[in-house]
Amino acid sequence: MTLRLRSCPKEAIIEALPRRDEEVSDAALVARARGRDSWALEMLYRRHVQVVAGTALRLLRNHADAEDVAQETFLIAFEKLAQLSEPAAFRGWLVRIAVSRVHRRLRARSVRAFLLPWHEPVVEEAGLEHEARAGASPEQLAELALLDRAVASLPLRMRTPWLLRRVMGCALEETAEACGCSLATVKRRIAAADVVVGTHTGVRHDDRE
Amino acid sequence: MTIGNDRRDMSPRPLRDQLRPALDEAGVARVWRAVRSQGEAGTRAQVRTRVVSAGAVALLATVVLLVAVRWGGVERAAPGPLRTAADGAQLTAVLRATATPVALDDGSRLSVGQGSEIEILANDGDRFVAALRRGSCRFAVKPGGPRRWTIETDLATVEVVGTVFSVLRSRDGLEVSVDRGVVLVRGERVPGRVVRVRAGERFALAAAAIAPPAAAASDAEASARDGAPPDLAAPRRSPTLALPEPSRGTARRSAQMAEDAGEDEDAKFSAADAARAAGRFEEAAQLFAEVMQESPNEPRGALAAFSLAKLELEHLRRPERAAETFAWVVERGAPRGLVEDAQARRIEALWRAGRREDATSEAHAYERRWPQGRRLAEVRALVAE
Repeated sequence: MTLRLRSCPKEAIIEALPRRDEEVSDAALVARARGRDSWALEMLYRRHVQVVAGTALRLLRNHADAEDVAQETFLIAFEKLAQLSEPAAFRGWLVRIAVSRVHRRLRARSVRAFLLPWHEPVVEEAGLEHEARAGASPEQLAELALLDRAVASLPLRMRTPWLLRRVMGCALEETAEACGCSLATVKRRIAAADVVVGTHTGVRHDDRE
Repeated sequence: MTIGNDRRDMSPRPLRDQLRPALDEAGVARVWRAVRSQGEAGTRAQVRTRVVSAGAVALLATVVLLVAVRWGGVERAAPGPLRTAADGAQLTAVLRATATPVALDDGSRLSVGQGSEIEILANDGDRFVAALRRGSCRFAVKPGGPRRWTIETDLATVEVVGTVFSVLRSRDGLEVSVDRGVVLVRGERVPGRVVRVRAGERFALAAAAIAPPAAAASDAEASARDGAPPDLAAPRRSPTLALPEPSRGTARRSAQMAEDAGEDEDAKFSAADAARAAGRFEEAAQLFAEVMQESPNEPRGALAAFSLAKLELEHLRRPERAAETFAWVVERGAPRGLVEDAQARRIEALWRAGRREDATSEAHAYERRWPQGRRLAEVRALVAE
């Protein structure tokens, strides 16, 4: 059990976090967060920050930009928490906001590159092979590099759902929600991306859900 | 999918398990601090969390500037009552005939005629109300000012925003002559309770009966009339414009019509829109221009200006004027959504007017101001031609 201090203007209150088997659901956290429970806000943040930052990083391929997007995403989400109609779907909603912010950045990047060609382009230093866990074998690194090239060649409308599904492990419904399209459309796009990736890397996928 | 020695390995692990977390603990904590502080401030973070806040630098610069301005003795105060331009003296409660116009500190001028008397009823930052007790007075109200001017007479009330007009209260009745802009004349005895008098028109309201407006008088006529201001410039002659017949006026504006100038302007705006939809572009442009002039500080005015500029650019083939009108919208600064579009359309107007360098310069300014603007792609495409 972990004890954490909750700041209070008059006195310090120590309260226990819930145990794993009593984990508070997203819906419950959202309800508490709407009541300005700062602990609930932080819980929501810590629970989902990696999927948000990971989504941003895989698409933007730049750590600083990904961090900015993560910050923006949570600010927007907490600002608009009252508008979330299904608190249980908080994660999908959050990822959708993140994807939207990422796409804005990518659009701004391309326009800036065109209008201001003398500016240094954003360095895309976060390719998949650079993000491998410590201890990855050379073969694994090579595979990741191949995969990274293949994914980078995909148009954004295919790259986004493919990364969400194949890299971040999001469910199909969640992926569709994040991309703002139907389940059928997202399946089609992921399948098309699979073909491209498979051609480059020899890896085949199967969605059995 | 998974990455392993066997490329056809189909272990169902998402690839993220093979990758480091996007944020390490320090990064998680850093982002949370930024979210919390921005959330508490009620604003969205746009600044990179790893860079020293540019806001702190800007704040310091602002403090330095404020101190310098203070020491420099220059203070910007909210607009207070109108004062004389010459010496900043407060206006007396009653103004009588003056040999020369009274220049006011907002750029407006009053010319009080011989034997005339004006009583100032209210004078503050957003209104100037005076009652013309007798005689005549010529008002040159500077457009774009913060105040609504209201001139009361016992027969009717004249409301203006930025115009040049004269009001004469004689034994026979009331006359309102407009040289520039538009005024509204309201009163129970005014047909339909309110009429709009445009530049080149004169509205007369007899003490005993209602008279239709006529073309503005010449110098000779003006000076022959009682109490005419000695320095009254000759109003322009213009074709006689008849007031709407009382029955038509009543049909157009019922006795229950709200005494809100805003509703009249909305009606004019609607008429302009209808004219545009019907392809009567010159007529629509004229109406939009009037709304723009009459409501310069209201969103309605900005929208009218935007609509006018679009007409000038898209239908009337006047890109230079369109560019100026779009610039007017941008300078007003509100509504914000319109400003961005206006700035982008101004670039297009400049381009079409052959002012390529100005257009390119404006494009750079647009990109700096709206780095993620809706029109970035269009602006880019335009200056790339």
